Amino acid sequence: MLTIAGLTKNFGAESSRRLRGRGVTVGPRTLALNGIDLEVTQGQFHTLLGPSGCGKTTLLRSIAGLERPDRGTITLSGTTMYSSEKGINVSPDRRGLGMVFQSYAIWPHMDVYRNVAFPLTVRRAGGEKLSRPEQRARVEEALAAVGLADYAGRQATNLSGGQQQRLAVARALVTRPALVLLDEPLSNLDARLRESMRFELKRLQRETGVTMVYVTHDQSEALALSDVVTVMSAGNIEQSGHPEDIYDQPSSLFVARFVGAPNLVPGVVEHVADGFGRIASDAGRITVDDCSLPAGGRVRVLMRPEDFTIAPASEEPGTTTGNSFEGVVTATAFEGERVRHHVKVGELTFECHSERHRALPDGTAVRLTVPSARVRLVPDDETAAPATARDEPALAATG
Amino acid sequence: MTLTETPPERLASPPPEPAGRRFPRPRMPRPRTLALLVTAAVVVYLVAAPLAILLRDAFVKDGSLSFGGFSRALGESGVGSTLWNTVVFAIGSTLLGMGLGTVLAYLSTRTNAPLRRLVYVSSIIPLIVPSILYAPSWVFLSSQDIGLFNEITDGLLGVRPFNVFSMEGMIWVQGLHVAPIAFLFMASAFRAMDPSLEEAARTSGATRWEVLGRVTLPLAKPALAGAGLILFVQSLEVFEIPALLGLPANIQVVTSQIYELFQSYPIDFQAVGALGVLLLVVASVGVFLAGRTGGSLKQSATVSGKAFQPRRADLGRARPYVGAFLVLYFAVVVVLPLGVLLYASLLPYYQTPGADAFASMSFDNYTEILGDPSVLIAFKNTVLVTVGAAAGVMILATITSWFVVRTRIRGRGVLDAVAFAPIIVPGLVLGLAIGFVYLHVRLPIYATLWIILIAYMTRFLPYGMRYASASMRSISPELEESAYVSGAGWLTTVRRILLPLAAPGMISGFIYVLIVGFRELQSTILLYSPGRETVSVLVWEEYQNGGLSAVAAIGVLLVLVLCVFVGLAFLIGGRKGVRVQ
Repeated sequence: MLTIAGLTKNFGAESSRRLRGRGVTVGPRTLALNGIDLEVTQGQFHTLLGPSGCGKTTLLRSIAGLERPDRGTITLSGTTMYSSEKGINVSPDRRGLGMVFQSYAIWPHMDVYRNVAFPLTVRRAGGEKLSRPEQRARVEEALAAVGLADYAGRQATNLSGGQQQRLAVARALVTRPALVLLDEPLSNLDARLRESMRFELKRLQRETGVTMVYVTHDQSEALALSDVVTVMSAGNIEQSGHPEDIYDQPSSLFVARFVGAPNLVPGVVEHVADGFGRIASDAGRITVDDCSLPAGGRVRVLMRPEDFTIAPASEEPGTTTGNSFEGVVTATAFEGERVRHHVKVGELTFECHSERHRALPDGTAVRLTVPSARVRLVPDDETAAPATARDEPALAATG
Repeated sequence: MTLTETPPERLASPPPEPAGRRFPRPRMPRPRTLALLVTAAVVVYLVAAPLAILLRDAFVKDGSLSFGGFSRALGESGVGSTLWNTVVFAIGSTLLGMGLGTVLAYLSTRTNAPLRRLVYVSSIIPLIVPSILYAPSWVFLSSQDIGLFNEITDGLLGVRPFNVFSMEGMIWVQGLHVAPIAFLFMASAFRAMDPSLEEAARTSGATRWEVLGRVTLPLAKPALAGAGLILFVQSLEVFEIPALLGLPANIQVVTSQIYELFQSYPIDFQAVGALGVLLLVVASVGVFLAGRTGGSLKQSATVSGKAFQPRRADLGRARPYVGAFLVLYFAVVVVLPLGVLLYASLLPYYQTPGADAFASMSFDNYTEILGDPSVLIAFKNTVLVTVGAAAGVMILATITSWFVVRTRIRGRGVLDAVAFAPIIVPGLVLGLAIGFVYLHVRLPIYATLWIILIAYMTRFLPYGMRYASASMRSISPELEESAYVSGAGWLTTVRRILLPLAAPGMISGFIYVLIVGFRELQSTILLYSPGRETVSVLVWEEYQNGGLSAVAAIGVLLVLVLCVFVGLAFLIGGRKGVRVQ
């Protein structure tokens, strides 16, 4: 439905400066988009995930026509919207999209009704304008869909943050566009509202069947909402796939870190047989059920904090056939439904989560166990420091 | 978070394919390009043409490079004294104005001084009273022979110490006249300052004075430099005060010398041009020096950044004294000059207050003025020219700043710089240069109101730019982008989104240009022709002819008109304060 091929864009001098100001390393010839290929199918909820400066917003704005790429093509429903070869660049007002902006971009000089009606009054939808009653019906329908039916006469600036956000969604949907673009729409809401708006957006998308391309830097948001998550870094696509695949099978160290994996232990594949692998790691020998990497390769062993079982070392070890590590609890954080422990294993610090009644005091000698079926390997592709705004997680188990 | 049920199948119906997709337009719409080209051409023409011709006339004589103008202009009474006087006057007035303005700004924004509102009034009023009236007021107050202050000290002590016709007098009057500008800049700088920065210093153990010296003032340094620069440039270019107060005491500055050269016949255009270039050079040096400390002419007292809740220092026992100081300031800066003007306007000829004087008071001056067709013509001319210039400036400035703020078109920085350049060009020099242009160009513009209109548009373009770009920057670009994505073209977006949102800023800018236009004398004095006088020229002529009562009466009328404009500006600014996320 939306096809992007070989999309490339240079940073302007200005945006480079802005990014450097935010602490992102930008070389003089760094590309904002480096030959992006992307396919979004009809009705998909597609999320572009990445740190600030990775190019996700540039990509979204290029799809909208607000930004002009240097090379590549953008095709929407069979129509070429941008093609550097053919010299086509359809202006944003003729692309027939809906878009929700990070600041919502609610026009403060219009009331709620006129904000939503605006696209209908300017758009030559289907070649002709809708009649007044038809416009009214469409606006009311869109407002009802987001639960703002009773607010039509309100001044837009008198709405709360969450209501403004819904208004922006209604305005994006009112023309029944084939594609709606959302640029970090939830980032200005407080945590509770953000959670509930996730479900709202998901429901609206399912009910309307509209295709959505969604930009966010919040990995939990991306995982919760999407049919497909595309992780971007420094103008490139790192990995694209179903949220569970992204979470379970990160294809690179960058993706692993970005979707929140604190325990990444460096090691080398020692032995592979029938898919089973044995890794010589900084934390000792670790066995893996599913090893797709050849022997001798440098890897990071990924063990999710929630996959660990933590028990005092004094207890008899169970009959688990997994990997176990002996260590000492160095820090404990009670977080309500769970407890986070930092456990020092040799020179490394592991983070592990456990149920609240399993909380152990600092200084306890413990044994961590993790089944080898839950251990993942990520190729250690890191040669230098990654060009990301996100710092190394403070607790990362790196040697 | 419960939502009403909606019939999903309706929204889910397949979206219609917009027509015209087959022939997508390859580029951004035409009107945009057209607007850019026309505006850029007009701006460059308005600013660059006069300066180019000025430089040519100053340096080129009969087709070859010549410095004769410089030697003739500066040769006679020594290069030194005129230039020295100019610099002493400009720096002296700047220091006085900055000192007063900064102290007042600090007192009114950061302390619990009493009567703080009085400071705002005493800063707005001198701003709208033209120098051409402010100087005569001070003549009434402190000239050696008729000055009110001297009458009082003479009666009490038998001395007449005040003499406004001196360098000190000039600096005093100009310093008081520009202090409000410093006040407005510094007050907004102090308000925008995060008070927690000072509190952090206090909790680190610094005394209040150490905080002031080591945190507050260093933080305000860019604002200080910017305000100082504006005061310096205005004191360089002011012509009325040196002409009215300096010339009787034989104190020449560059502006008054330009005017004198212009009065002699035949006019030595090369010498006049040379003086203009000299003034421009001094102003540029000021810009350079201020730039090194982070000051910029682009800073605007009207832009308020993040507003912090100010935390006020307790003045303690000093509070009554500070209050007395503020009352005294208000009296000296507002009450006395305006009072003496009003008083003089009611008398047939000026005399010191007394039984005789009060007995002879009447409105005769006003009836005479209002019956005088030349006065009415002057008011009509002024209104025509300033309204035209204000409208023209705001249109040009809006379009220019849209391109500068919103687009990444190459050369937008140059366009911005060109539109701002007139702010360092002294008014007299600009009038001179524009006169040169239309002496050369065979257009029927010289000696009409059009040439004054053109001069005003050039001169006030930077002010318009300040208002327009400030209001453009305060509007999130996403508001426009969402209109594009909604299907609106450039013109529709400008008409339905940008203009309504920018309107308050545009209107404030319009009124500001009206106000400064009403006060304008420096360019007009070299460009007007008989029958094309503006009000300020009329006041100037009446003063030269000794009609002090007429000066006072016209002045009172002018101040009243300007007060109406300022009231309008406040009304609109207060009512249409648009909240933008």
